[in-house]
Amino acid sequence: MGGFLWGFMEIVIYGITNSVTLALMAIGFSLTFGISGVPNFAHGAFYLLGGILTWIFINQLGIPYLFSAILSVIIVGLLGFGLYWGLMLRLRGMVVNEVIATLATAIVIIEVLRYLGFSGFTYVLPEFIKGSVNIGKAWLDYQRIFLVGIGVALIIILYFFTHRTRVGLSFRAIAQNERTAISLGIDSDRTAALSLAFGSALAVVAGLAILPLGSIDTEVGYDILIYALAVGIVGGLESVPGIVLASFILGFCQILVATFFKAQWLTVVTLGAIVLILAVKPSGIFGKYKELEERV
Amino acid sequence: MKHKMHLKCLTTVFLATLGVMFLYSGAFAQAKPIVLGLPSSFFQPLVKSGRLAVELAIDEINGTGGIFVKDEKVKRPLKLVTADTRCGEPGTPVHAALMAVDKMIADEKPDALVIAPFRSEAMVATLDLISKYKMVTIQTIAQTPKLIEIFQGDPEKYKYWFRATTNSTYVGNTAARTVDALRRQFGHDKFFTIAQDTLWAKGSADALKGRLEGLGWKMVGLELAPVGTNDFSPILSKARSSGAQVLYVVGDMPTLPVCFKQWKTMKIPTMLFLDFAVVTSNKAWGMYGEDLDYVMVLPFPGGTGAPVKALPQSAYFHKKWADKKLPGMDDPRTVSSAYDAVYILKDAIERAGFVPSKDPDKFVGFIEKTDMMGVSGRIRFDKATHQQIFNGDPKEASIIVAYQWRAGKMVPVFPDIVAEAKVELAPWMK
Repeated sequence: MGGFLWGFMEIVIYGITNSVTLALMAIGFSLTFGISGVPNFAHGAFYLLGGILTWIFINQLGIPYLFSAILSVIIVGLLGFGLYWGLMLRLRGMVVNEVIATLATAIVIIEVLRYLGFSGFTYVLPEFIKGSVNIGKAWLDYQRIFLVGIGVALIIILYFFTHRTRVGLSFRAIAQNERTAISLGIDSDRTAALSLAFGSALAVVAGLAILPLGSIDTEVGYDILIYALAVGIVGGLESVPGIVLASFILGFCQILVATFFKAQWLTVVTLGAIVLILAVKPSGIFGKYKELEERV
Repeated sequence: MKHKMHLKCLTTVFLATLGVMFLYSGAFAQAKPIVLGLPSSFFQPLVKSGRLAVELAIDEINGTGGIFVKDEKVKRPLKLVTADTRCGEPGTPVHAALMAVDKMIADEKPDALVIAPFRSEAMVATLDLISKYKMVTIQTIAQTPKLIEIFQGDPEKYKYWFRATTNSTYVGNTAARTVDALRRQFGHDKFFTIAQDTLWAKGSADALKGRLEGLGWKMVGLELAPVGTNDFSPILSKARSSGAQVLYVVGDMPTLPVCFKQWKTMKIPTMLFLDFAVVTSNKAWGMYGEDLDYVMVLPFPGGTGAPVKALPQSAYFHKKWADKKLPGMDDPRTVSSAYDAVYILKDAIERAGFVPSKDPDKFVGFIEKTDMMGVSGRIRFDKATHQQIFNGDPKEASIIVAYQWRAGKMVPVFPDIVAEAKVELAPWMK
């Protein structure tokens, strides 16, 4: 009985942490896509870049952790803004070109970082607090507790931001109907650029919460993009509630499969879910992009 | 009379010119370096550190004036030339690596090669080039037993190749004996394996399984973790419920540190034997700190990851490394072998009295008779395989040493002959 309780608690606790991790990876991607319609394939590269910048600020420039983190979020946010004004503005509406341009940006960032030697295991971000705590017989490290806290806080902040602030309301307006929003005086390009900036900054926040669990390697730039896409496709790329729900479905499925079957099927869970949802509801659980075609 | 004077003058000038030419050629000969070629993949951390180790040895030797070449009666300094084979980067074909080696030999005309290509398949293919150019090669990275097999297929053709480091058989056997030492100390006999879901890691896991089962152990679980796994909790829970006393983890993916961190935070009641190169050097503590406490590691060969008292050369090597303020090793595997390789050549040149390129066929015999102390113990070669001999006694041959991380230090714990402490169980296991 004790063993069962132990196992059950671990499934619940690590299911939640795994789900929130997935949500953090995907939320920035979803925000950008939902507002500007730009599929930011440089999302993983920004996640990686934020981690490496923070490492450089802490270890090379001696800047305290918190300031390093804030600085990285701002710099990458500005890069996202610049990416829109410098590149995406000219490609807006041409979906294939948008994908190619952002993917190329990702490859350039990741490969330049690799060329500069930012691969291997040297680059480790410190955990906020070391140690672990016993929750109902299961041990959980403080970093994962922080991670869950950051995830929940981000969702709440995002909700209030998009419902209570002027910029947030303009985000929603553009997302709901761009032409009507423009007719009401909302600058569509400025809002889209801001959404790319916010999405990129959120990628860094996710990195700062997740990367201290392991180490920073250039490969994570590609891995994160795959997870973000998987969660986005299942939940609905433009829907924050969809992202949260999909993260919990995938997160718990992964833990259950690894616990009751074999860990090697973890990747199959993620990719299988994409295939399944594309076959049944291509817009994702809460997505509306192809809703009309789906009804027909 | 006048004619005689002329003749005298001319003779004097001629002799003076000859003298100057002789002196000049002598000076030139003294300065002419012995060229060591290092063709390998500098993308790989262990090659980067290996190169620094070669340069360290060269600086030491050049600091004494160079290597005395008896036949030339001069001390010749060493010079290093490099070529990036890129064979450690994803997607680089073997022929690209071969072209890099070929070009280096043709352009730079090295007297001998050290380290050599990183990836085993590139090294296997390089054997023919070595043979074609009769290039004496002290190879120190690729671990495949296939190289010995090829050598033994035609020893005359491949005689210029020597492996001055471990091979995967030695490493695998030592890993199994290290785990088996836990049976003698604690009565453990069940192990659980977590392998990264890649061919090489699965191969290592299978090899260890075979060896340990041969020693009476039982594998109570095997889990393959996909590359990118960032939560090992379900796998570690299984390891706990399997009743295993030893957890063997093998891989090289960036998220593998998550595994040993969770092993600690989840207080999994097993010894953790980690086959993960990054945590086998002193530098690792600076990155992961106390998360590494009680983890067992096996850098190879002995003494490359951290000093061992019973291997005096290892303490010397690490002191020199620190004195020169060289960067910490990201991956210390075979780094000390690269250092030793230069000294193996120095020793053979001094005994032979000539450089390898002068008469490679004859020079090979001098390498075969190598008998000197290196970082991992006594360096000798098996004439039948051209493989550096490893066994359990550093006075007889070279050794591989297992360590346990304790409070920031890598403490040698196996084999008994060099162990500086007994293995300790993690506190949550007691």
